[in-house]
Parts: sequence; structure tokens; C-alpha cells
Amino acid sequence: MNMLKILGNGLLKENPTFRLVLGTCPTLAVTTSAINGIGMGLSTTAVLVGSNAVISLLRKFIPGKVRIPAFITVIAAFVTIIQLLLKAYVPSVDKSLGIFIPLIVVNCIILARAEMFASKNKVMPSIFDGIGMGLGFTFALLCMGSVREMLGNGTIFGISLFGPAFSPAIAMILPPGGFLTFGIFIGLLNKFSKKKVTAPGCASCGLDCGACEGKEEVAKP
Amino acid sequence: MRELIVIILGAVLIENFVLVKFLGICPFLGVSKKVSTALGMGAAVVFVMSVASAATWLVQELVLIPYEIEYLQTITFILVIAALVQFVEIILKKFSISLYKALGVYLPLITTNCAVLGAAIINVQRGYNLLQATVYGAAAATGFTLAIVLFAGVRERLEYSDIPESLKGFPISLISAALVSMAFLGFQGLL
Amino acid sequence: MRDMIKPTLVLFLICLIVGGAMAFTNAATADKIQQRIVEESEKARKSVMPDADSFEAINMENIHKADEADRFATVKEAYAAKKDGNMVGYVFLAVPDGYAGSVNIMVGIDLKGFVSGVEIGDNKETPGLGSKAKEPGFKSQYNNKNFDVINVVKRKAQSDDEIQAISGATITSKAVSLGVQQASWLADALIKNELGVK
Repeated sequence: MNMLKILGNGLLKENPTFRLVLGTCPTLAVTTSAINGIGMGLSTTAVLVGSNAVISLLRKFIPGKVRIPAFITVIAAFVTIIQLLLKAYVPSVDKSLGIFIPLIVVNCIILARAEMFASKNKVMPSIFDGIGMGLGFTFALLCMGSVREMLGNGTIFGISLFGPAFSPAIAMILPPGGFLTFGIFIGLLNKFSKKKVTAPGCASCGLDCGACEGKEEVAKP
Repeated sequence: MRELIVIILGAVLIENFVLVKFLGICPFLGVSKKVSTALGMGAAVVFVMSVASAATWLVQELVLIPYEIEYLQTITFILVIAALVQFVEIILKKFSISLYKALGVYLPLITTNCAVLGAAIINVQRGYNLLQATVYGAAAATGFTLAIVLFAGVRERLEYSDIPESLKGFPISLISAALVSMAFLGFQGLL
Repeated sequence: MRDMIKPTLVLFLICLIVGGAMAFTNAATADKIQQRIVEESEKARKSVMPDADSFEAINMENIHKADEADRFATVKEAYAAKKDGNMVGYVFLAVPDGYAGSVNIMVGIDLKGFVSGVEIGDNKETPGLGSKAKEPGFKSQYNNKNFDVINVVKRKAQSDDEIQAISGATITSKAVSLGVQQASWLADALIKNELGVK
């Protein structure tokens, strides 16, 4: 399999946030600024690459029945390791992301990729899938974070853009702004791409979790 | 008692899990457009979150702190929650098929619901005792239920509206959620 | 039974391996994390007394034992704040009971008895109400004042011993004021060397 193709897949075609619509909780919660978006994106990427690699390595050993608990254990271990490393070396990121760092363990993206890709593919491709999906997630968070920060705070990466006369729309960094930005982004992407995303990425989630009730992505020519 | 009321009102309205804290979004967006399904999901979540809050609190107090392994909080909590959900599913299957049919379907999803793990972690952060932790879990889940039921209602209405092609489905749901969330901001000065 | 053994063993093995990895990381980072926590406390103390560059802890046990009138009951920690080795004031951590639990209050008081800064820590006070105590609008009321008994009033403060309560959060406001008040009394006692401690 072409590694670059796998990478590009996660970035654009199957971008976990805007196309597969997975991992929505952190997407809405930590995108109050561009830098927070990047911090969360990169932390998640680290966990994703690690768990994809290990799960792919172990894929022949894990019996089907217990694969979900096994995946969760591996993912949780990586989250814990990243948590400790952040606390020790980049405490500012730990502080700004707060509770959402341990919550990476329930980020559907990671479990979905473990189920859909890592458990069925070799280690190298799995690693690249992890990097691609992780970077796609980071990119999406960066977009959301930048927009919300610019409109809601008048800054980007902390640098003031419009000067003191600009009165920012604070709602943008509050919860309504999160929902609004996300909705508009998906709407715009729907408009400009051939395949429309109207339902949760059940086909791409792979877990039989009952939330989707047989829904599938609606593809339009 | 007063503390408990503050906790409940806070969790349900002022710091609503879905609309303010952004915990539990996946099922919020995904669960169907029917109010009845939303209620079913909500009921399951209330039960699981209350029990999970109590169980994780006990693990923290009786295992993690005495043995000084607090760094294992994330993994032990999620495993406790996953095990709990499995357990509840088995019990439901054995003792009440009808209840299982109504709620059991949502159970696997609840494991990865950020709200459950989120509440467990918040309980520890805020230093709640066992009673407060359980109440907080139940109240947070109630807030979650409130949000998804409200939203199912909104979505039921949206069915009849004329929506531009590219906004159909997710985008319009999210934009509607933005408006509901803005309404909830009004609760900030409640108590 | 047979088909239960393999999955269980595999899971157990995985748990062992990941457990080992986590324990290793924990051991490797524990010191650094501890260091960060100490830095945080230092930062908090500095935020209420910016002039200081070092803080020496003062033993509160003896002070509490001698405090028969319970005038300093809520003050849990005290530090002598120094700059270049010279005393510039005191920093206290008061933990009074608020509306829904205890509230952590860091108070900086200079050698003349004037409050140099008040910081409110994490607490369980009502979000949107009591939690407003953390906002500059409320806590800055204490700055640059020398307190004896603080009166919490529900209107605009009309004298230097009055604090305007947060609308709808009188209990939280009173708790913060109690903390600052007792810290002021303790500072007073320390400055006048009434307690036999430095």
C-alpha cells in the first residue's frame, strides 16, 4: 500500500473531523484558540500512532472476543504516558487542555482506527494511518481554533489582529460558537465536495455500538 | 443538603454537560430524531453514570490513593466503566428482556461517552465525597438527557423544514445546537 | 471453559506489559512533575506578592495552638515573603468554608498590614455566582487596604472596611472576606512579633 496515499487519506479524503465526524467532543471543547487546537491535535496524534502501532503488532494475538477491552487497555496506557509526559515537560498544555487529555482515551477516532485499520493491517501502514488521521484531526482543530480565536478574541496564536477598536464576538469562544463554527465548516465542505456527510460516520466507525441504527453516510454523485 | 441542590442545579442547567462542557457530544448528535429514543438513551446514561461515579470514586479512594498509583486513574476508570457496562448488559438480558430491548442497544456506546469518564474525573478533581459524587453523576446525566431530548424535539421539527442541500444533516444540527446552547447561557445567573 | 482461558491470558499479558510501560514512565517523570507542582505554588504566592523572590514557610501548628480565640482558624499556611533576603511581607493560604465546600484563598500582606493581593483557588462554589469570586472585579476590592473586621455589604462599599458582595453570592463573599480578615489579623500579630515566631 502506498504510504503517502494512506497519509493523504487521513488528511483530506477521510478527515476524521470533517468527513468521518468522529471525536467531536474535543473538537468543540478545545478549539477556543488556535494553539489549544494544535496542542490537542498533536497529543491525540501521539496516542493514535502509538496505539495503532501496538495494536497492529498484536493483531494476530488478540482474540476477537476481547478485542475491544484489549484496544481500550492499550489506548489508555498511551494516554497515561502522554499525560505524564505533558505534565512533566509541557505543563502549560496540560493546564489549558485540562480534563480533555485523559478524555483522549474515549476519542472515537482512536478506537475507530484501531478497529478499522490497525487490527487488519501491518505495522508500517498502521503507523502512517495514525499519522495521517492525527494530522487531519490537528489540521481540523487548527482551522476551528483559528476561526474561533480570530472572531471571538481578535487574536491568532495570541497575537492581536485587529487592534483595540475591534470588539470581538465573545459568543464565538463560548459553547454556541463551537457548535456554529463546526456546523458551518461541515456545511461548506459539503457544498464544495462531491460526497455529502449527513450522518455520523458509522460506516467508518466500525464499532457496533447501536447509536447509528443502521444509518450510513449518504453519498451523492 | 444545600450542597447537593447546588450540585444538581449546577450540573443540569448552569454547567450542562452537553451544551456547556461539551461532554457527550457524539451521542448527542447521533442519537435519532425521535424524542422517545432520546429518552431511552438518557435513561440508560443516568443509570450508568450514577453507578460509574460511585464505582470510580471507590476505586480512587480505596485503591489509587492508598497505593499511590494515582497516575493509573485514566486506565482504571475507563476499564471500570467498560466492565460496568458489560455487567449491566448481562444483568438486563437476564432479568428484563423488555428493558434490555429498550435501553440495552445504547449500552456499548456509553462506554466511549466522554460524559461518563468526564464526570468520574471531575468528581475526583472537586474532592466530592461518595454521596456528592453519585449525585453529581446522576445530575450530569440528567442534564445530558435534558439536552438530547430537547434536541430530538428540535430535530423532529427540522424534518419539516426546507434546508439547503449542503446544510442537511450535520451542519443544520450543529447550528441548531448553537442556538440551544446560547439559550442555556442564560442560566448562568440562576441560583 | 477452554475458550475463556486464551482471551483472559492475552488480556492479562497486555495489562502486564502496558502496566509496566506506565509504571516506567511514571518513575521517569515523577520528579519533574513534583518540581512543576512546587513551581506552581511559588507562582501562586508570587501572584499575590509580586515583589518577593523567595518564601519561607512558617510553622502554623504552634500558632494554632496558641490561638485561643480562634482568630486565625482558617489560615492553614503562612510564608514569610522576602526579597533579596529582606522581609517584604507575608503570604497566607486561608481555607474558609464557602457555600458548597471550602474555598482556597491566597492573601499577600505587606509589612504595613496592607493587602498586596488576593487570589481565589479552585472551589466548588456555584458556577456563575460564587465562582465569580475569582474575577478581578471582586477580589481587587481587597487590594491596598488594611483590614481589621471586614463588613460585607450588598451595596457599593462606602468605607475602607466594607466589601461589596457578589450579587447572589453573599455566602461566598463572606467566606473570602473571613479568610482575608483572619490573614490580616495573623499578619498583624506577626508584624508586631506577638507570637514569638519570625
